Amino acid sequence: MKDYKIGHTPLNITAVEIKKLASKLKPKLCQGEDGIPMKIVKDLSLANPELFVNLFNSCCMSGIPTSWKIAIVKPLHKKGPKDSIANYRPFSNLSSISKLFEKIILARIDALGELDGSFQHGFKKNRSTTSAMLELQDFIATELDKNKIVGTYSIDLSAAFDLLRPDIFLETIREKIPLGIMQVLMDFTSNRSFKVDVHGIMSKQKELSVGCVQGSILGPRLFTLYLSQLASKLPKEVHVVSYADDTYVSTSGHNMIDLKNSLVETMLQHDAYLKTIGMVTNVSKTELTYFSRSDVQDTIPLLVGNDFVKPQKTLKVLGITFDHDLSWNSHTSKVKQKASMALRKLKFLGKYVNLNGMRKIITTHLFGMMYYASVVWLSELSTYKTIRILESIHYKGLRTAIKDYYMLLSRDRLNDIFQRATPLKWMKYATAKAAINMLQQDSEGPPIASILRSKLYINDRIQTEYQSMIPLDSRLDETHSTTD
Amino acid sequence: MSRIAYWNCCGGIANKLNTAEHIAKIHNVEILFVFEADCSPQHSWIRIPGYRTEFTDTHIYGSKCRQIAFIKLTSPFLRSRSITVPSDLEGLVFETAKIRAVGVYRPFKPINDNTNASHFNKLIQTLTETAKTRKDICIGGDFNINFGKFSPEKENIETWALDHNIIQLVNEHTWERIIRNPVTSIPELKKSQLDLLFVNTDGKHTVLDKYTSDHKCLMFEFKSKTEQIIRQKAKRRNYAGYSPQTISNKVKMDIQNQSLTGDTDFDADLLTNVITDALDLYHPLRTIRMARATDVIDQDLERVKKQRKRLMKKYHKDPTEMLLSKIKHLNKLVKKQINSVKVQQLNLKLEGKNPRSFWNTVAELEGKRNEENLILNINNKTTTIFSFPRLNNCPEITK
Repeated sequence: MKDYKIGHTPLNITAVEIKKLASKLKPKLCQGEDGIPMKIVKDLSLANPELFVNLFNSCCMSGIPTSWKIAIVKPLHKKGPKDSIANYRPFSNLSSISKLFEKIILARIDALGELDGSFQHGFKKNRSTTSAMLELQDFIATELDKNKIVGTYSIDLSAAFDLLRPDIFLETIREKIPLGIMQVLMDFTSNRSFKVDVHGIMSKQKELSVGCVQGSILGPRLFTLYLSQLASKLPKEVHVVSYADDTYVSTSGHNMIDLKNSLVETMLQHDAYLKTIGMVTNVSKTELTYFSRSDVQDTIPLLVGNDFVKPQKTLKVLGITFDHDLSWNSHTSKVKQKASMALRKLKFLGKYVNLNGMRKIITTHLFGMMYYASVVWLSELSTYKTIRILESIHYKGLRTAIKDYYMLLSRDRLNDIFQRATPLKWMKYATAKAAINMLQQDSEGPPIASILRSKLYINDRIQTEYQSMIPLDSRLDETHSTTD
Repeated sequence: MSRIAYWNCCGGIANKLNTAEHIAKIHNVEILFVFEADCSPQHSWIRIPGYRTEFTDTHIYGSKCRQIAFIKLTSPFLRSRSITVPSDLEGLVFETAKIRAVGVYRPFKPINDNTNASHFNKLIQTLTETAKTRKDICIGGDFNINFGKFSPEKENIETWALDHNIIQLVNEHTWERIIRNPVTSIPELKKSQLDLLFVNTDGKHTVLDKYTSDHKCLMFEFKSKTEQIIRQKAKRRNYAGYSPQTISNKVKMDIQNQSLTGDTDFDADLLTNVITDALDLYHPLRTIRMARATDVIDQDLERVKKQRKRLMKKYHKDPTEMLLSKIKHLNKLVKKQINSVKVQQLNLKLEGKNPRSFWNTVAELEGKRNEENLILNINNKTTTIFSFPRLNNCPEITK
């Protein structure tokens, strides 16, 4: 820690760099301590980026100004009665000039490569919740093909984002990041403070010694860097997938006894590692399931340290439920419940909204919810029952889209009107789009792309088939991930 | 380049909104005048995404609007009601500080009527008197002037124009008549109707052959010295009263005077102070916040509210029954306008990317009962059953 002193290596930030990164900022109107909205900082930096060059370079040399380190916390009402504090959610506003500076530092860190490990899927380009789920599903399926039993567990971290300790963080990234950026990060995480603003009345300033910087651009990246050493601390056979603070660890074994032993070992190691970092874990809340070909499920609880962990038949992973035999029956029944509830409400909207609007609403809010992560749980090989359930809701949705409540049109007729009508075609479209996005970015393609390819059975036809499928609505893909 | 287009849709805009959208979007038109629209201001669903619609004043020209105009939401053109087009001609006038765009439609009249030229004279006089050559002018429209039908003298437009002293008028005001021949697609009507464009500025004119009803679409694009000012003003309105270039220049000047020291605490405070000073000097931050509070700024609503305020003040001084009745009438108008603004805001919520806000609005709507006035159009697009191409042939639906 004491080796790094401010005032050594300049980062040489240029006007061109500022202008390039400022164009990516979101023009919001909320203000921090200085009272300047983000929109104005963006416009000024695009019009005249040289205003900020000298200030940013001197920030690298002699430290970030203290006014940038003060966060203003405001409570936002969620739901329920307004009297109790538990119904409010705090959000913090930072100075908007400092956010531009953070953006530059983040770009410098990203240029160094994938520092937070390949198991991390959160806050990254071309990665999403679906890619994380795909990787987990692929591991389980391949191990089951070898006649093995797989056990996966998810650990519950309480208030993970607020428990980051700067001194440990700097130790973990010491070797990965060059000195210039290191100094800035050290200065960025230290000597932080906050004020609370309720209807214009300010509280006293208080110091913050622990935690990621809430509301900042660098914050999420710092968190993923903080947990980057997780995979190396666990045994080699263990497979880890994580999305932000949700981590899913899975091991396999030929016998139940071997598997249980290895699971207990990894759990203990995992818990010990998290405690050294400073995270608070809740062992009694960890969820565990055994994936196997046989229908018989083991329900004897595991003894980990002083706590018991009880295995269950299903596992919730980032919004979808994995069955112990990968049949997806429980997930489809949940989807059916949700979608039928939504349809009842959307039919009511037909009074107000015209045909084109109705069509858009159905595609975004019904199909977007139904086919969330359909790449994972829906395929050409899925059972007749699941496809029948999906089809029944799907055609009901299409009928509400054209306000055809009296069932005048046949299914073939609906298929004619909507070019991409059947559920399987939707799945194909989503997979093709995901695969192409990944392949375009990386020349070789990440390991997930190969999974997708094998799932689709279309190695070379992928481009042509994708182009032939015309999406009903382009907004679908944006809301795909957020509708949970 | 800013473009103004004139199009005769021939009998009702309701079915032809798609083509109007096509003209506006593909050619990036600032104002699109549409003639023979046959609608009324109550038809709030007549809209193009990204544009707002303006109807002719019903209290002057009658209940039916034969002319409407679509204006880009970001465009600097504002509707001016100070200039009244003669009541025989139906007109819409839009203007900026430097340019005035006028659309004129003359309803079809019997052949013996000879009041054409006199009304046209009146129009030109009113325009010139008010403009006083300060502004560039672009007049276009469907004048429905009957010429060349019976008498051989009127076969040529120019001779007809000479008869009615139009060319003189045009020459006096140094206007250029760009379209010299009638623009029609049907040969029988070729000599009976006349579309004209009178223009005061340098520019390029085109006849768009693609969009035909019984007339063709005319477009005028101009690039004058005033264009730069127009763009700046449009940007300012977009930001609700602030331009980044002027503020950045001011900040640069101030910072050069007070050179940076190297102490970042001091420098950061200095920069923020300079920026806030510049913002307060040119355009106060208050206006920017206002713009966010009301995402939909409705000009008509503000106008009616101002009128009502004025009358209320008068009424408090000396209350009369006349004023009371007027205020009551205005109250109704305000309610109507507020309803339309509500519709716009609901549309925004339904269109938005946030699913939570969408489901909240659905729940809101579910609670209401008598909402016949609310007709929501997502993306302001109107569609009928027949707008689905494949459904046209479907026998079950046509029943």
